[in-house]
Amino acid sequence: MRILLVEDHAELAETIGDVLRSEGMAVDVALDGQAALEHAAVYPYDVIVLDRDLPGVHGDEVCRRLVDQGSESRVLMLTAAGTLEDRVDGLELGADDYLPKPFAFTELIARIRALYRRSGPPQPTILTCGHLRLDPARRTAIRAGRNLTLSPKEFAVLEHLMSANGRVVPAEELLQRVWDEQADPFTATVKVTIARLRGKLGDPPLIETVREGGYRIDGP
Amino acid sequence: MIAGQLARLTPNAWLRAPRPTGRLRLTLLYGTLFLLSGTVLLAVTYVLAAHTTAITLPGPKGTGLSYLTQRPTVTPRTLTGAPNYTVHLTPAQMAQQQIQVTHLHDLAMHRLLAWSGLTLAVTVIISLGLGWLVAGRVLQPVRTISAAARRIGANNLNERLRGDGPDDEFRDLAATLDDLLERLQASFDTQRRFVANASHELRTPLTLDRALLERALRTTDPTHALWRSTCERLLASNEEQARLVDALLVLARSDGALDRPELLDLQVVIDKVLATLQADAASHGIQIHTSMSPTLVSGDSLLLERVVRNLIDNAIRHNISGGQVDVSTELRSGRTVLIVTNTGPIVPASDTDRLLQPFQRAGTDRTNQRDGLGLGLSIVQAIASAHHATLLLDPQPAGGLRIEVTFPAISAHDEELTNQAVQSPSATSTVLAARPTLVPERANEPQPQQEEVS
Repeated sequence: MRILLVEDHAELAETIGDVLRSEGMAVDVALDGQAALEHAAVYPYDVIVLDRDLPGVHGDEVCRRLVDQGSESRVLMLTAAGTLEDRVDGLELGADDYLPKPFAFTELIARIRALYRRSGPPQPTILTCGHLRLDPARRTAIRAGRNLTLSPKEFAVLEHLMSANGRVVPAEELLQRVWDEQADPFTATVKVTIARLRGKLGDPPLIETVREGGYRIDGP
Repeated sequence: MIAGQLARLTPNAWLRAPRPTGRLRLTLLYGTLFLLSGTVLLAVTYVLAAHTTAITLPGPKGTGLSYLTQRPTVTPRTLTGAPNYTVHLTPAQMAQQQIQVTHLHDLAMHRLLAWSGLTLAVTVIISLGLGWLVAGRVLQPVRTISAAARRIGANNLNERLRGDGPDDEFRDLAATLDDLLERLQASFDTQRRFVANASHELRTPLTLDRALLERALRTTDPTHALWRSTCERLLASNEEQARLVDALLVLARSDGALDRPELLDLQVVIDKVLATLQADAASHGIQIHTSMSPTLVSGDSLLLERVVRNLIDNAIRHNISGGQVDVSTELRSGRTVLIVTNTGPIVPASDTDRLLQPFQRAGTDRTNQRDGLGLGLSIVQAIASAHHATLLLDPQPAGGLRIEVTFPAISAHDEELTNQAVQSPSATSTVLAARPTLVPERANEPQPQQEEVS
């Protein structure tokens, strides 16, 4: 799940980013509206967490332009102005959800996940494939009664492959969706992660390698 | 209890006098005027009629006046029968006739009175009804205005009455109220913007605190270093919040009028502030130049110190490395002017109004300048207006800003205060030997030195 976090307070952005990353999300940070629009034009983010009070291009304007450009990213607005009118205004601008500051991380994460489920075809809250059960909200992966200990990246790769529903996922897509902009596209990081994941999943092998650098997991 | 209920049911409860509305009063006024003028008219008519129609028949010796008007004479002639037939009446018969005529006259007058009285009563009632209608019609605009004004609340202050009737008093009233609403809305808007900005500025550090704490608590295996860095960041955030609350309190305090102004030498205030800010300026590689002449201002010493501090602080912060800050005071036709000029990035002329708004910072890259609260110039403006001083922001073509604060001329009353202070300098006052100016103690506080002397 690839997230764009737009927050003008650098320290707050860093802290939120850390926590979201520890939840296995790939997070890019933009510190103002202009940077946010530039990022959004380059990557197809699943969810954009947008602070409303931004210097330069205001959060409302960012939201409006994203909608005008037909962006498929879901927008979660964060704002310190939490009155009823503000929330209604924000939603009318095209935001998909609204969270007033200060917020609890559990709520932010739950809302991001809910928005992610709604982007693209509807997703179940718990992903299953044969004997493998993946619960993204509780961050648990169980295969045939055995609890798997996965790193955030491994978990995110598995979640992405399972939610692809049997479709072949190219390595570039995994890199885009699971890793953030800091990832070097020329390293073998995807390959390495898939290899570790295969080891942890055990036999019989679930992840299939297709053609050049594509992966798939059979649907349920 | 039953007695109480009965009391409530007595006719008094619902026969209470109606509310003396303008409509009712106008109606009663019309009715009363109509009744009065009708009564006068009736009385005059009655008196005139009574006099003009009174008939006295000629007496037997011709002493009685036969008539009062040049009307056909009633002679002792026939009243009935053939025209050429004359009837001679005896004096007794004449007296009889006189009684009858008087009786008839009385009867006619009585009838006149009764009928006119009745007509007057009926027309008074009709005039009351018409008066009620007319008063309602005249007062209609008042009702419209009052209903519209009632509809306009804090949430729809953008509505206007817009009196569209003839150019009369009611239209003036509506225009006056619209004007009032305009000012009210402007003030509400400022207030709302301030609250929105303040809530952003207050909630952002709260969000940061919470995020820092949650991140530390969520970490499954927190290290000593993580706790330490979390605590340090929380402490820094706490300091920022303390500064913010401080600034907001100053802003709130300076928004009103001054309760006890005192006379101060601006130069002393500037020297005091510069003593604490020199190190800060030096660390930014900024030179501060001063050119001052002794100048007096009347005001609150703490607030004026705040003005000077904020202006110089801003000038240092929004400067370029190796830049300059010029602080000067001068007397311009009796008015003290404080001028702070700094080098720095170019400020667009269109930005000057925005800079005075709370929580607005120069430039759009607020991101890397978190050290400013964005309240400095708002506070300066609030304090300046409390001192009846004017604030002028003048962006320099080469970059940077020149800010002028012009204080009002010292009044005779203030001079008197100075003289008193000169005669009884107090121990804690900053007395400047070389100059006849000083900072007096608050006039009505007990002065320890005086107690010692006495």
